[in-house]
Amino acid sequence: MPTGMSEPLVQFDHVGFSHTAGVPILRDVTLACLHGQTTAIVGRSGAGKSTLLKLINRLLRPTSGAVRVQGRDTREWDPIRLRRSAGYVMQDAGLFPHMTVAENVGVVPRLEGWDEPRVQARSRELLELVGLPAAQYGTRRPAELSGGQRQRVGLARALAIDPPLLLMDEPFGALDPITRREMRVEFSRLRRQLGTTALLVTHDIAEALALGDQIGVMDAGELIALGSPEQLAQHADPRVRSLLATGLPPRSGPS
Amino acid sequence: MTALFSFWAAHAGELALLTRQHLLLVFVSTLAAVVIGVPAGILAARRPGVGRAVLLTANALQTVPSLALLGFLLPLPVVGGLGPRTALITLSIYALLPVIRMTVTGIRTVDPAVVDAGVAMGMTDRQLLRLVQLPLALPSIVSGIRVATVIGVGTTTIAAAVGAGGLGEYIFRGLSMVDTTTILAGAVPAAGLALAADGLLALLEAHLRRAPVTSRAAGRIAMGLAAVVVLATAVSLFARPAGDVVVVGSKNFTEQVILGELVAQAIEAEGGVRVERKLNLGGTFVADRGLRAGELDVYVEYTGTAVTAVFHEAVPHDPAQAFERARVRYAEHGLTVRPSLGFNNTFAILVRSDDAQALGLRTVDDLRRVSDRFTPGFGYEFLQRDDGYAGLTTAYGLTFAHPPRGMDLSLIYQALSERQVDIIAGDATSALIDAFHLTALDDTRHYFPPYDAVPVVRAATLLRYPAVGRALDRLAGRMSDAQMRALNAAVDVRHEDVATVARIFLSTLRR
Repeated sequence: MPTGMSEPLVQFDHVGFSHTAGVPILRDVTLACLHGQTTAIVGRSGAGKSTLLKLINRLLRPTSGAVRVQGRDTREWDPIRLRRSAGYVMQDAGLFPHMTVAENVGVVPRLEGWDEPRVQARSRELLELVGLPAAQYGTRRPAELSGGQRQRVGLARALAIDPPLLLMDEPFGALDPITRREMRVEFSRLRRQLGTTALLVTHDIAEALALGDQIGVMDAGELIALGSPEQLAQHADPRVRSLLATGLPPRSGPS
Repeated sequence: MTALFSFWAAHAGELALLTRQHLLLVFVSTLAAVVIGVPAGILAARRPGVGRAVLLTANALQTVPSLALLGFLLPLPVVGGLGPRTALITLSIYALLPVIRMTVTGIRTVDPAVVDAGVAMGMTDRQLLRLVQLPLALPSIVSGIRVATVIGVGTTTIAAAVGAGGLGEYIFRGLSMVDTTTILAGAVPAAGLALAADGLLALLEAHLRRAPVTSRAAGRIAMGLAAVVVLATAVSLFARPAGDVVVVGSKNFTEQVILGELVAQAIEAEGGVRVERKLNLGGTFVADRGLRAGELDVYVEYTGTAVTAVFHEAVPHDPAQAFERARVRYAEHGLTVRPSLGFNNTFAILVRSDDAQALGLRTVDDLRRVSDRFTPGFGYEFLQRDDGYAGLTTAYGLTFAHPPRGMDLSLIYQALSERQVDIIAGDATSALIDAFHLTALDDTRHYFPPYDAVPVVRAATLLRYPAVGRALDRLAGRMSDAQMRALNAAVDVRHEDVATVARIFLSTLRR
């Protein structure tokens, strides 16, 4: 890491975003993700959560303010390098249907020009890590896996070159409640084990509370609350309170 | 059915050769379309502006009738000329559209979430294309290739019109002889090839949809295909028959094919030189271009046709003067006109014999009384030519009930016999005149010029191969109108084999 550990890995500085001539999708978002922390962004669909993620790996560029990764404005990064240093996990995994499980996990290492034995060793290691032994699952295609298994492969793929940052867009959104809980536990274990910095987007407040060291609440393109789970519980804003109410036990499951 | 099988049995060697030529033409033209069409499709899929232009161009090319495209390419240097090159270019152009269209469709219909995943993984544009979009578009591309191949098997039948061979040879030959068996002899295997190609490629496509290839395998296949097409194109472009070869041509009607075969056999009988046949060429224009470009050495032309259709001059009505005109004009192009074979295949104005009797028609003049009730039908060439339809109606003051119907020469006698039309211009030596019970009306005003059959040869060929001159001398003045009609009847009416008919006639001539 070229910068000191005290500096945030990801920094949003008064960021706004709108499509050309459109209504603003993000308004004046300021946010910092510290090393080793998991930041969970929660909000209803259309609140601007996914847009926030896409601004980090420059799938989108801010229309005002600046997004900095490792202290550097994303607009100054080579987008390819930036994306490879940020593992990306999508809803429903987004696996490449024409590749085997092992090939999916090996995509980024191969893009990075690793030699073949190293790619394969890494694939095996990661598949073990997410509980899918390579001998049994490596040669299957995504279509032959269950939703939870696909999500694990998606996670393994995102972690393949050990990126400093993990971006997760509704990673467990397409799973049934039981598998979701399992995956949360799995993810918490992995994160502790690897010490990765993560930014997670979800519409499930329970998930955010379970996984996030820091939680941001988004509503209509604005970040209306930011803090630890405890701080959030004390929050006075009625919008935050109503959101908390929907997600607190007894659990409502995926909405 | 039996006739068809015995035809194939009798022509097994030729059938195998034509099928091989057909397959090679389809294979090379489709591969060329893939090599051009897939990159064009990729470009079109990624740049919508370019895409519209590419698809519009491919669409426009597709609408040009295939024979028109061949005719347009023929006189051009490098891309044109007689033989497989022109045919391959035409066929490739027709194969382009389905390949481009299905490549575009294949790339555009890749799941956007999967494309997004690729981008978010940090793939460059090219990596995204190679690793994600192309492998996933492959089944769609293969289905485009499948459509192109099936269309190609059908379209390739026109290759015979420019002397490129293929199963179209039988179809054109059959059309000119009005012989269903010969047409089917080419059409049935062509349909079989189309079905087989469709089936095989459908299997491949289904396999790819079930088990998509990895990007690396796809890359290897693409490289392999590109290598094959480069090789095949090189071979087809540069492979010229080596050594001493004289190329004999003919136009695409029975008499011409018989004459071509006769000339070819006469030269072979002299020995010392190999003969290549490019018979059934698509008309005067094609044969003449071939001769001037050095792709043909000799074919039999008619003096009247030479002076009007080739050199665009008025034909003297005296046969000797017409011959002299043709000789002088051909000489300017390094071509020698040899003495006439002996017969005059002028136009004959034909009506059904029962009409002729009922209405008392004996001469073209008599037509004036009935022409306002008659529908004429003429070959396309006759309608265009100055010495054709326009001149005829002026010379005889004819007014017809309907404007003339243009039709293929090979169908015109049958059309008259089946009462689709009432008067046609046919060949004076056609066997079908008797077969269909038609009557030729006397051209009392000598409107039609002489059409003496004369071999036209490249002067250089005559110098280099004296055998050609000797062979043509042997034929000179030996064929009367009646003899030519009899030869035509043997082929057109009794469906005898052209080569056999020619061989028997040749054996009656002394050396």
